[in-house]
Amino acid sequence: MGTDGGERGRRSAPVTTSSDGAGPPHTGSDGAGPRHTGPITGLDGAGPHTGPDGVGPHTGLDGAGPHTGSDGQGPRTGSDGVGPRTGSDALIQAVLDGVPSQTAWYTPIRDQAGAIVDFEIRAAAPQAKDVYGRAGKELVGLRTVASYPAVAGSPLWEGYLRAMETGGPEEIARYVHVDTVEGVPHRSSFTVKATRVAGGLLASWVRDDDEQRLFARLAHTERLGHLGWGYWNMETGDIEWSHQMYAIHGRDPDDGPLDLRGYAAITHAEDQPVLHHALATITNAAGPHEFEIRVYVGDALRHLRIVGEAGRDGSGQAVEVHGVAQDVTEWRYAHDQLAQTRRRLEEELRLTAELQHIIMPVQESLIHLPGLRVGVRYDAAQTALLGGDWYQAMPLSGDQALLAVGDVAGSGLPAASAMAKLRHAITGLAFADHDPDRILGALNRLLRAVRPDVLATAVVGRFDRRDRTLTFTHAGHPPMLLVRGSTVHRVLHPGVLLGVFDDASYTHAGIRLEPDDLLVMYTDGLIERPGRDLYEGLDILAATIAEVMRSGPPDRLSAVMEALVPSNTSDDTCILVAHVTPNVQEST
Amino acid sequence: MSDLYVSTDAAQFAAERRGAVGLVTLKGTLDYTVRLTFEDFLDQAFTRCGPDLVIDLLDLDLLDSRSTGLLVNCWKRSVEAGGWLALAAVQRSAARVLWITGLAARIPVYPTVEEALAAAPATGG
Repeated sequence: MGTDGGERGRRSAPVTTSSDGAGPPHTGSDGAGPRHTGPITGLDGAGPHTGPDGVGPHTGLDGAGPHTGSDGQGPRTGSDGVGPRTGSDALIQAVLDGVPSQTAWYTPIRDQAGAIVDFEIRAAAPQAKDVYGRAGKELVGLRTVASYPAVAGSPLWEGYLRAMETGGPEEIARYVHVDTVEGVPHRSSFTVKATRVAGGLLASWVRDDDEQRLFARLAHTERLGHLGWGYWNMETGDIEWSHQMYAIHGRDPDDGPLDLRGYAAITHAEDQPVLHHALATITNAAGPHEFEIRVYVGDALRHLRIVGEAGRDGSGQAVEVHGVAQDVTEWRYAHDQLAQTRRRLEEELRLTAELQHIIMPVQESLIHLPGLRVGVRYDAAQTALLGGDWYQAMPLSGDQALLAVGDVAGSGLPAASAMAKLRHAITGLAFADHDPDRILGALNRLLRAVRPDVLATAVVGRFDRRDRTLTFTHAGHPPMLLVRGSTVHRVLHPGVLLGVFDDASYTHAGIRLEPDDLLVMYTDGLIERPGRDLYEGLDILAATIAEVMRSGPPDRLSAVMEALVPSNTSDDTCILVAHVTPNVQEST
Repeated sequence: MSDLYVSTDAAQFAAERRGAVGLVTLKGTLDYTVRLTFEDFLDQAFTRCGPDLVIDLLDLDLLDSRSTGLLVNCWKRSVEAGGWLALAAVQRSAARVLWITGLAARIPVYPTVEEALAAAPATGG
């Protein structure tokens, strides 16, 4: 402390002395003065006017203190109280041009008795700005009391006079200036520093509300963004934390910031490597580095995302670290919850798909039935994995096979369970050697009895390879397509929907298929789409298939399967394509 | 004057009383995109007009399979409530699905609204 005080004393003494030593004699010594006179006295002595003439305009300025009243300064002030523009003005202006702060240099205006009555701005830094928004050189020529009457007699004015008397520096903190502009009082607060320089007054000011606004904005940003700011000087070990940085860490600012060891102590054990790796990266690699760690704030674990960047000296050595920390605990929590929910939904989807597969297995490979190769495909609706569409393709005997496709209205578990009932029932009924019309009649009664809430459609066919006949019936279901060569025929033997009428009965029809014929059964999801009904869709589908067939594909079955793309992803779709095996005929 | 009128971008539904019978007029495109609106409308029409209904499909541009299902449900509901339901439709139209699904053979279908209304059973009997 003693050393500090002594040094400060030594530093200020020459300033005072040189200023106090107003009058011709001191100008010479100023110029030759010791280095410690500092920049302020340096200004004094730096001008060309400090030459041998010594009594030039410069001394007039220099000797402007009140104590010089008797040293013949009075007359110099002239009638307007201020001397002509001098070399000092230009010099100081040149200096101020390079000063990045609100600074101006004034000369005092004295009355006949030598008392200061006003100040006139003779030089101003570009950033200097008054309460009216005038800036830089616009300020030159303005007089304090004349232009800002409220200053007269104020603490600012007293401070100016004191600075002129003692040489300063004087600090006038939070000077509140009230000015009435067009009848409206404007209040602004400044902190001003004033020093006597070159016989004039060098004043620099900061508008407190600017600073306050900046502080407030920063504080809001930090608070709203859960952001804290920290600084670590690696050479001195100095650490600085913003207010929000303390808040994020639940720490009392009076306890000071945590150093690296303290910080590691609150970091979750699993994240220690992350912290140390981050520190190494920040100090060794250029640019910012971002990392996320968990720290204990009291008993609670908070997730912090931290971005740090090192400041380097000329050799590239990291000397300081700036960091911004964001508390992302809530975000991380929501993120984890979402991920958990997503995993659970995926699991549910997987189970649903499995359930669908158990109820109705769909195989990728072809199904080989007597006299037929059959491809099947099931496309679930985008909105519901469990649907009501189904197929059945199975051998009934050495020569016969059952082919069926159906659609239970609706989706989800109710539709799927009705679908499972129908699918199991049709299997049993087919093995009981029933024809399609009797099968559908039985299915209708089944639905009316156990699921009267359900509407369903189906097409059921029974193929006999001995004569290649297909016996079939539709129950409210769209037509089959028969592809012979490259011609597509609609095949329909209509019957009423399932599940509507208690006394519904059906008849069957028969067609003889040719080798290499293709038979396409499907549900409405294949051809319906908004604004387009089944029959328009069917025409388009038939045209597509015909085109594919005209190209003479080597494998007609897979060519058709590929051409069948569901038109409506909001509905499930089931497709069955049977290919009459060309080389198997009239076999045993 | 319609008692009930619902309009979407693609379809218009109206219901009004014609004596003892409710006349339901469906126009435009009846596909699954308006399914919920249509279902809700039929529910309201039923509540306001009772189970004796004529449903006019003559100005329909499109009737998809799900909407057909809703019409069938409406018919089932009417019959279960002891009512009577007829359709005004022609075979070569958007309502052809009624013939293809065999419904036209089961639910009374008339070529004009007037004939359908005239066929309504006497009320209060």
